[in-house]
Amino acid sequence: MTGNIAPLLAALADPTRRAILDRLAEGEATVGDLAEALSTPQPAISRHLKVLTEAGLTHRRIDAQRRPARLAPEGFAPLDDWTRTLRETYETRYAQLDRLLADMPDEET
Amino acid sequence: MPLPFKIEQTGPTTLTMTRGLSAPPAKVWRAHTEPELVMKWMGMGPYPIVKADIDLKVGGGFRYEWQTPEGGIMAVNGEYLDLSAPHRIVHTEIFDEDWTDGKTTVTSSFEAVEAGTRVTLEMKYRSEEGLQMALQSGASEGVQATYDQLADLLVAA
Repeated sequence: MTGNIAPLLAALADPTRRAILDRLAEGEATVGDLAEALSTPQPAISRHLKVLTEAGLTHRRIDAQRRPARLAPEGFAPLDDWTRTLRETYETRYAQLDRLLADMPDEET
Repeated sequence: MPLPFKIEQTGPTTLTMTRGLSAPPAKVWRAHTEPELVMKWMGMGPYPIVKADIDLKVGGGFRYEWQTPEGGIMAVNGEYLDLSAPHRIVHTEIFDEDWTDGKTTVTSSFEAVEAGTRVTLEMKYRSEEGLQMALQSGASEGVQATYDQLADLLVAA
């Protein structure tokens, strides 16, 4: 149906990682750029980038001595697919539940 | 409809859905726990529900089956961890053909509000510890392969 979304949810749960994704949405950035923009030590940025890259949300590009990170928009697709599936499934179900509840006699509750 | 459907991420591996219903929690509880009532609303469009077995006690379980458009059966099995009528059900669930990487723990809350009931469905996908282990052990390679396939699809489309 869709890819495994648990690592995506875990990656997105951290506020620093969300801030990194926000910054990368403006364009690629190095660990140094991100550390400065977010006032966070470089080793912490590196750890967060590793989690984001493993979750498929960012890429690292090798460019001589630099390894700039950039957003991998396609990495969000499984989560989009999953939440859309949940929404469609439950909106359908709850509309059916609305009708069932309206038809249920009061004396049986 | 008192409260529109909403879905949001509320924890490291948790999605929460809320929806208002125009009936008291007692009716909502019955609709979630009596097989003949479950059968009337748990179908999903092209996936009609064909079976609902419920053993309603803590430690008991349930199994729902849906017919797929291809003529097969899709099924979910679960176990009840907490049953506090008419307000709270905690259960685990896992689909036969699993796409969530293991058991999901679902907490259903039915809160009485003026318009009827506010349903909150909290879906916790696996444990965070399990996730960390999976990430560290390289299990995420499988996830990466999935994304690669997706990327190929997107390029092809």
